Amino acid sequence: MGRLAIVNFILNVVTLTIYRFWAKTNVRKHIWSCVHINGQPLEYTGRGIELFKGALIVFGLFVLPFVLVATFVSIALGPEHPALFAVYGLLYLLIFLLWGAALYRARRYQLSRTLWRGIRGTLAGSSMIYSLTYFGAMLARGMSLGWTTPVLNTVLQEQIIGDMRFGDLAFKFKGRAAPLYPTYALCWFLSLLALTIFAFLFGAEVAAFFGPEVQKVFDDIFKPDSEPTSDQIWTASTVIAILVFSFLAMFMVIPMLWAIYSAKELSTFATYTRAGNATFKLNATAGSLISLVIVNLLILIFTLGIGRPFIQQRLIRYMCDRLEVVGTIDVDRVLQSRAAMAHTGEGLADAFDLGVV
Amino acid sequence: MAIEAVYFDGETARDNRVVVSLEASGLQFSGEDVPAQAWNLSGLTAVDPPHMGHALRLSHDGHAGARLSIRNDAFTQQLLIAAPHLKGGFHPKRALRLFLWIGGGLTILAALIYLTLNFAPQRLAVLLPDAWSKRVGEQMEASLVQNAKVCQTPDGEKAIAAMLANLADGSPDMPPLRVRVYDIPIMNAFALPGGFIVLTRGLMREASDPGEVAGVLAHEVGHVAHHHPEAQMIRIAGMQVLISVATGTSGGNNASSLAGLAAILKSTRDAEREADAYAVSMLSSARVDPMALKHFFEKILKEEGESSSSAFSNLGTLFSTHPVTTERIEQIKPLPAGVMLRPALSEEQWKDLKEICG
Repeated sequence: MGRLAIVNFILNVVTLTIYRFWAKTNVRKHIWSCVHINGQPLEYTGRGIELFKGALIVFGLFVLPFVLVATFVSIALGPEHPALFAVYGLLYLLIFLLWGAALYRARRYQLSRTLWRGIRGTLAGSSMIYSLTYFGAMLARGMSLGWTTPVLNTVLQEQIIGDMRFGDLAFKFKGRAAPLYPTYALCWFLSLLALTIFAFLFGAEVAAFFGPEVQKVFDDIFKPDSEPTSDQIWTASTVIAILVFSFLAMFMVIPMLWAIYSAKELSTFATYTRAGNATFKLNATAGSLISLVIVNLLILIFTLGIGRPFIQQRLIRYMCDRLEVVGTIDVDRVLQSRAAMAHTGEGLADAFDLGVV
Repeated sequence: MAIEAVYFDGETARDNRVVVSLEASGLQFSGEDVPAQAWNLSGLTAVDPPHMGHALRLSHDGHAGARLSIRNDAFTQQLLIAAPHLKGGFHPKRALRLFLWIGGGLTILAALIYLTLNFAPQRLAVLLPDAWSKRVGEQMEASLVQNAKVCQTPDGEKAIAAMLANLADGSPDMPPLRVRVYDIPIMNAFALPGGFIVLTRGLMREASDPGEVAGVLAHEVGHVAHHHPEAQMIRIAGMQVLISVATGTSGGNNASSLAGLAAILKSTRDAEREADAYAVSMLSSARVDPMALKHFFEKILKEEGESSSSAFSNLGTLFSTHPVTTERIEQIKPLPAGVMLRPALSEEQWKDLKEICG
């Protein structure tokens, strides 16, 4: 894995990241073959060229036309013409509309390239319907200040799991969002509390920062040829340190609070899922999720991004270690999927990941 | 040697016990519900690189979806001797294919960049409708000069008109222009799309002779005549959209930002050479001494480095937007002896122009 990560990194640099499609494929091949379900390993049959072609198609049909139109408008009407903002607005709308489709199609591609016992998976539904639901959910979430999140996540999960197939075996997802609400409310109010506290701290800090005393200290320090006393330096650095710290803390604490909800949602959704006679149990906890994410972040930072494959591996290992399949699937009766296999994959997802905005 | 293995037929998820043996014809196997069959060795592929102690998973060209899983190290070793390609490693054919695809991708990328930066701008600039470039030029002039006031005195404007008329003498193809002097302290001159030319008060201050201003003006007219500002505008607009798409930032596409403007105003070296050549030929036809322009360049080259900071310092000085080299200066040659030179402006007109900003 370490060798794979380094080779991928070098080839990515040499090829101006075009190799990333093959790199992704190699990493998936490795991780998939490490995942055993009931003693049988998974197999990833995707190919880098399929991802590359997918990206090329999206580039040609989506990115390039946009570049041409935007350039044309900015030349024809001037760089500050409202039409240019309309063009960018349209692009944003299109991206939001297609975001769900990108997720859905990427998932479908991966499932169709995943074999277990020689049988591949698929998503049998329409990516456009999912995308519209996803878009609507984004709007509703914002308008309800988040309070519709458990319901919407349940609806979305029901749609995508309900479309999931292993061969001809359908997955089922059934359950209510109500059990998620106590945890959601807890996280919501805790975040509000945290936000209030930070706003207060921040406000006090800013007031101090622009207050006459601190202002004078800063003025003195930044005066040409000044020789600040150690007291002054101490005051200035404390002020700056608290400012930076409270800002950082806000960005750390609030996501950590939400890990409580994420853990609850993951484990609840697992119990709502069925495949044949098999049900699922996922032992996700807030603490383990937080340490997973923090360690992943540290890996990413200290390997300068080279360690990204390890992060994927850790995410999958987390699920594998904590996911328990209860009951069995009657494998003798599962027939191969007859769904058509697309020849390309993940073009939209790759474009959005690259930040086509 | 015959061993037990697991076989998946790719039609159902069921695992079948089979007995496998390695024969000259390949892998022979059969089981209770699996009719006897043979997989020839050359068609075999290892799903994962073989590892002793782990199952070796095999697929075969002729049986898409079917998998044979062998968990017997001794057998695996024998098989690897008979079919060494299963060990994996470097595949020249596959590597070549990968190289071709990636090479193709890089070529497309390079072609796109070349098209955006070099090929398209100058060609499209010529085709640009006048109304478009005028509209853009006006917007750019407004954001370029910010709050600086335009210097307008009736006599000063007459002097500019007179200088343009003098320059046009002998150059009937001079494009339509609008020349304005702005109250900007730094010394610079800009040619914008649509034939808008901006001169600064700083330039008027530094010039000691009407021929120097006429030289700079002729140089800017050269840019206009060659559609350089339009080309540069197209170049930057295309580049900004490409960058904004690649990085996911949308703020880049704004020529009103000074960084964007500075990029548009900065000419390429080729464009400078073309504008110089145009200026020299225009000055010669008008019988205005091109040596004034040369002296002016030399004078300012000496003063470079002492540039003062001001609100407009990010616009740079004449030589940061029109990178000057000694080679460029040397290209300016005096007119042949015997040509009757004439001043670019009369003494009185020159005084009016110098005082246009009060």
